[in-house]
Amino acid sequence: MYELFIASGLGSLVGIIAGCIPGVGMFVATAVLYAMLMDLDPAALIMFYTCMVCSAQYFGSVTAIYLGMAGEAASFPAVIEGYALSKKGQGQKSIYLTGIGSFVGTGFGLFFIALLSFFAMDISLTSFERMILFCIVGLSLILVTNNSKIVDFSLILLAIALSHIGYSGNSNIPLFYFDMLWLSQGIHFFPLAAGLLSMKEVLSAEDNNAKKIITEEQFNYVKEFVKHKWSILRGSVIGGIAGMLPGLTTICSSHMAYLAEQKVTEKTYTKGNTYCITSTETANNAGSISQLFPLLMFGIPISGSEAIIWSLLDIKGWENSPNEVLKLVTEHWYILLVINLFALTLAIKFASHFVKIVPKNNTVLKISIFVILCFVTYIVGNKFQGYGFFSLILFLISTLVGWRFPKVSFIPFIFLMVIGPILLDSFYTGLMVHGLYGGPH
Amino acid sequence: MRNILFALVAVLFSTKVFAETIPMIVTGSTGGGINAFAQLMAKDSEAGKYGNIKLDPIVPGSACKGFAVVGKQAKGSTFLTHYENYYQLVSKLKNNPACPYVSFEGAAPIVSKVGGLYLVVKTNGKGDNISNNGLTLSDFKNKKLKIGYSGSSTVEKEWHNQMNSKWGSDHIMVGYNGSSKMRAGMASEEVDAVWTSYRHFLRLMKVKKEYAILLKTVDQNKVSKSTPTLGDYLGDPKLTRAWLSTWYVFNDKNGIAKTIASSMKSDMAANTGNIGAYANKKKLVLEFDAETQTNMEKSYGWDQY
Repeated sequence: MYELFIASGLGSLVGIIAGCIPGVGMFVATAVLYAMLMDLDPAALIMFYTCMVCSAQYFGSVTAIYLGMAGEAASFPAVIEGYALSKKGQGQKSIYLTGIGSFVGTGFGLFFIALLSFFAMDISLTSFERMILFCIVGLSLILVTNNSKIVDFSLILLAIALSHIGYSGNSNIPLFYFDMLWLSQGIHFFPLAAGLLSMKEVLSAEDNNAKKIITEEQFNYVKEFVKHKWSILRGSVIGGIAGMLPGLTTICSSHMAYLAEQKVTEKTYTKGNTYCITSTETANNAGSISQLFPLLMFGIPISGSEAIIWSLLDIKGWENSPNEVLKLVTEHWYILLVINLFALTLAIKFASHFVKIVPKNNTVLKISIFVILCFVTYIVGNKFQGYGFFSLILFLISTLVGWRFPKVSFIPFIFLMVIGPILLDSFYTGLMVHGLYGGPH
Repeated sequence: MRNILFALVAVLFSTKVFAETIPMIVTGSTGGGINAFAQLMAKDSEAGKYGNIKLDPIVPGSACKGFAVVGKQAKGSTFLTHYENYYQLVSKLKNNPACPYVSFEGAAPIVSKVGGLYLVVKTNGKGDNISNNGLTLSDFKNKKLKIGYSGSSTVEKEWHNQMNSKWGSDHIMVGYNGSSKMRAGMASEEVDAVWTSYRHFLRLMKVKKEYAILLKTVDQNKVSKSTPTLGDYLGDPKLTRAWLSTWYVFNDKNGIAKTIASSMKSDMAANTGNIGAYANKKKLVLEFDAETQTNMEKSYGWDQY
C-alpha cells in the first residue's frame, strides 16, 4: 500500500512542477520520466498519473492567478479570470475557491468513473466494433487541430502506413520490413511523440515576463464555499463528461464549464469573476479523472500523455475491463483524496512560494529536457526493440520536423501511431471472423 | 526550491538509467502468460527475493521480436529469456531473419511448466453445467463454428485443419495476436469457442461465470477427470498439443538459475512472494530440477506428437 502512496506523492510532486512551469505539460513530464515509470506496477502507474494530472490542475491555476501565465493549456480561462481577480486584490480567495472546487471535482470524477464502470460491466467489443471506436476517436482528433484537412488526412495515412512496418498479421512473423532488420521491430511511437509533441511544446514555451501579483486577504472560507456551491456542482458535471472527449480532455472540461458559467452569470458578469474561475477549475479536475475512463476501460488513450501511460500499462500486462477499473477506484479512492487534500493545502497555504519555481528564462530548461529526452529515447529504443540509435535518430528527426513546422499539430499522427498496431489487429481479425481473410502464410 | 527539484529529478533519473540489472527478454505478447510471469519475477527480484539479482523485463511485444532482441545481446553477456516449444517450431519452420531461431543449447533452465490447451465455450450464463445449454461437442460435428486461437501461424492452421478433417467440419479459424486479444474476442462472442490455456479460462470466468471446458489436450488436475482429452475423443493422439514453457539464463556465471529456482521453489511451498502466490492460485505445476527440465524440452515438442 505504501508503494501506492509513494507513487501518488511522486505524481503529485511532478504535477506541481508541470503545472507551474509553462512548456512542461503532462506529456513532457511523462516523456521525461518514462524510464523511471517503467518500474511502476499498473496500479501505481495509474495512481501516479492521476495525482500528477490533478496536482498540475491545482498549480496550473496558481501561476494563472498570480502570474497571468497558463502552466498548462486547460488553465487559459483561469488566466483571464484569475489574473484579473489578482489585480482586484482577490488572488488568494481565487486560489482557495479553485482549490476547493478542484478537490470536489476530483471526488466527483472518481464517483463518475466508478458509476460508468458499473454500467459498462456487460460491454465487450468485437474486433470490428473496437476498430470503429478507435477510428472515431482518431478522426475526432482532427477537430482539435487547426491543420488543413489535407494535412490531417495525410498525417493519418502516413501513420497507418508506418504502423504496417514490422506488423505480423497475427502470425508473429514481422512483415513489411524491406529486408532491413532494424525495421522488423516496427516503429515505436515514443521517439516520434517525444520530438513532435514534447520538444515542440518545450520549444514554444515563452519566457516569464509577467508581473507577479500576490496580496494578503481576509475572507470567510465556509461562506465562500457555500456561495459558490452551484458553480462547483456545474463544473463537476460538465468537467466529468467533457473530460472524456478525445484530444481535448481537461481543456474541453475547463472551457465548456467556463462558457456555461459565463452564460449563468450573464447579467452580472465582469472580467475577474469568482464563479467562472471556480467552475472552470472544478471542471478541470473532474475531467482529469474522467479522462481515464476510455483508457482503463477500452485501452483508448485520448491524450498524448495517456498514450505514454497506456504503452507502459500494456507492457505490464494491464487488462482493460470494467472490473479492474471499479476495483482500482473502490480500493484506492482514499489515496487519491488524501493526496489531493495535500495538494489543495499546499496550493492554498503556500501558493506564493510555489510560483518561485517558475523560471524567468527557459533556455536551460529547454536544453535539459532535450538532453534527457535523447537519453530516454535511446533507452526506450534499446529496451523495446534493441535499436537504441535508430530510436534516437527518429527523435532527432521528429524534433527537427516539429521545430520546422510549428503550426502543424501532430496529435492525430501520434495517436494513430500509438493505436496503429491494435487498429490493424482489430481490422485483420475482424476480416478473419467473417471468413474474408485467412491470415498471412 | 528550483535547484532542489532539479537535483531530485536528476538523482531519480540517474539511479534508473545507470542501475545494474539483468535483462529478461519476454518472447511473447504483452497480455499473455509469459509476460505476466516475467513481471512477477521482476517484482520478486526487486523485493530482494533473488539476493542481488535484479531483473529488468524487456517486452518487445511478440515472440519473434523478442527473438530478434535475444540475437542482439552482446556475446557472453548474461540475460534471461523464455523458451516455448510452440514458438521454437514457428521460428524453425519460417527460417526468417526477422524471426530468428534461438538455440537454447548450453543455457541454464530456471523453471518449467507444461500447460495443456482447453476448448472453451460459452454456457449461456447458466453456470458451468454444459449438458443442457451452450455448445456441446456434437455441435462441433454438425455446425460451422468460429474457433479462436492465440495466433494464426502455419502451426495453428495445420492443427485446425487436422481437427476439421477429424470432425468432418469446416470451422473457421480466427487467429488473434496473443491470448488476451483472443479472450476479448471470446467475451464479445465474435467466436464460438477458443483453444486456450487454463489461465485464460480462469480470467474469462473472473469476468463472468459463463464458460465451460469441453475438451482438454492433456490430463492435468485442473479440470474434471470426466472432461475428455482431444486425442481420446477424436481417436488420434497425434492431435495432442501442450505448451512447454521454460525460463532460461544464458551465460549463467554465478549460479543465477539455481538461486532463482530455489527461491521460487520455497516461495511456492510457503505460498509467499509474487511467483509463489501466482503459481498456487493458478494451480501451476512447476519443475525446478535442471536435468528434468532439459529432458522435458526433448520430449515436449509441439510437433512431436
